[in-house]
Amino acid sequence: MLNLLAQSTLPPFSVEGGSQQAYQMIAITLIAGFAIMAGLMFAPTKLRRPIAVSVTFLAGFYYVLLWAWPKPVELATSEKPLNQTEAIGRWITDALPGVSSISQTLAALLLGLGVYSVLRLHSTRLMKKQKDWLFSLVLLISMFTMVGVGYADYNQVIADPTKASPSGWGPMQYAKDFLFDGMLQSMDAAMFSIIAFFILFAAYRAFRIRSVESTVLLGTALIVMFSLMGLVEYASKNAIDSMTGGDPGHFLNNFALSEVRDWIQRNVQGPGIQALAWGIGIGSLSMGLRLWLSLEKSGGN
Amino acid sequence: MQKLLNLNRFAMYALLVIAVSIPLFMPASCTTIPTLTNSNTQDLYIELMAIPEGKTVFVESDWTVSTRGESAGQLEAFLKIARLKNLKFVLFSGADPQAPQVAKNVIEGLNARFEKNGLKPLEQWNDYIDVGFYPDVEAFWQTVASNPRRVFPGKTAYDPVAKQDRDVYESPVLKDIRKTSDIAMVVNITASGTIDIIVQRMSGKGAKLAGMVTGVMAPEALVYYNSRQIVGLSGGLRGVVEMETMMAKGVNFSEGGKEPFVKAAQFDGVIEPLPASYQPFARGMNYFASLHAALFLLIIAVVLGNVGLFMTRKKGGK
Repeated sequence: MLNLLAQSTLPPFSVEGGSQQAYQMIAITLIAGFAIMAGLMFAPTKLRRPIAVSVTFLAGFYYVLLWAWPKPVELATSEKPLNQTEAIGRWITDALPGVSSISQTLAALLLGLGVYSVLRLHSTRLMKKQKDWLFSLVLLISMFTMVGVGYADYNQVIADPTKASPSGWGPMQYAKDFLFDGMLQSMDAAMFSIIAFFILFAAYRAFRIRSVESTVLLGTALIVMFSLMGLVEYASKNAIDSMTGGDPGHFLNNFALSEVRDWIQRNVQGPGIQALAWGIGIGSLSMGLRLWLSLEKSGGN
Repeated sequence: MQKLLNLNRFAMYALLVIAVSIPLFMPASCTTIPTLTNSNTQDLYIELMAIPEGKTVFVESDWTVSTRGESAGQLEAFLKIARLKNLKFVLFSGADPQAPQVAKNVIEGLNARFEKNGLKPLEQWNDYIDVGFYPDVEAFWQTVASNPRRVFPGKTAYDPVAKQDRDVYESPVLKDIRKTSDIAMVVNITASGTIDIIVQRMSGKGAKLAGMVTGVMAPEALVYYNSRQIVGLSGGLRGVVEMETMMAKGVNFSEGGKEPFVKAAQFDGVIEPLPASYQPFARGMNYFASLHAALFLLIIAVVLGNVGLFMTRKKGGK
């Protein structure tokens, strides 16, 4: 088992990507996965929690060991570990790529779960002709077109790598470019640009001098906004230079816009962000421990 | 005065559209804005230009077209330096499944310009390896930090000479990478908080870390620059303009006895401007006037709102 996870030798189920055997393996894994899921669903209720708790604990325990267990430094592959501690340390380090691959696969499955959820929601709405079913139809058609064209393009590029560069593009590559870059990305950018309008109106409505705190906030925001404008900063520097005669040691240099901005960033903004990050870090640690030890019971027990 | 407190929302939106759009239709000579360069961007440029030729950089590209104005310019700036210095790079994404394709589109666009200007395009396998999207980016960096030789097991790429797919570790990009200190630099071009993960996993592992982030993420990333956990930082559109300014005018470089436009007090050497074949250096500057217009409108709106509030209070007090 240790060698298998550490992949010191290729495991027996290792096959070439894209081969017939690989597809067979995928099919077997899927069936096995569904069988395990079904087994869990039919498992007695009292047994489900211990299984979930054990799996969660083991998964987290690996990373705790990775962090805490002493690791051999610069041990060459040909060298044998001196003792059991070093051997375990070496195994933990060697197993990381394997564990990481499992982790990548699990995270990728979450994307698949999202796709499944979208499909289920919108196909139900379409079948039952619920409110706005037409939008669901557009969504599903767009989704299948993008998947179909994307997959066809992927297969063609695999078969003929010259199609990867624009000089070798065929109809499918143009179609993918039109759908992805011409439509999806442009609409994505258009949606994002709406934020500018909200920011403008929100700033107009919210940045009002109502108290000492809001005055300080407004003043600081104005300085930072002015400093983002290269022209204003450049003019401010030139104005200060003309007053100081270009003397870098002159006291007035402290009032150049860039200096004031740097002071705010280093002494106000930076420490504020660090304090927040510290708090979030402590919170994450506490939440991580609770999840690892299955002390979180909000999901129902 | 009450009117100042209740400006029409749609009039403001229309003003914003007009203010932002006009500079986009003006000739480049009218919208070129002289810009000072900050020490964080200077350090990024100096560190990138100091990487020895042929070394490998890991580039995590975590942005999509939503932040094209900022991030595409940053990626282009890096790619131009990579071409000039013949740097190899591994390209991947960890924040968005769309990001690898977006980055590839930028490379294709820039390659067309390189070829037009007589430069060699960036070639997959020889100059870079695109390893795609990693949904669990924490696990990815943890593995890089542990053993960069085992991050891409079974990953292949097309070798144009052998005319077949080969293991990425046989490519000129990765063949010399044995430990983390063999990675010349890790550059994160991001519109999200992924730089935190890189700093957490890769600090003290021998590879220099750098960030090219959006304006929104710049304040957070600046904390890492101030603590020297990253060697340089380009923040937002302003950062792109600063990078391009240094490419066009060099660093501590004086021409015709004039004062250098970019003076980096922390750097003893001189960096010459990039050759003319790498021009134009206007990816950021094209949008910089629009940013000025938007910020100016924002400031005017805030001032008007406060003047209205002040006058109303004064009137009420009387």
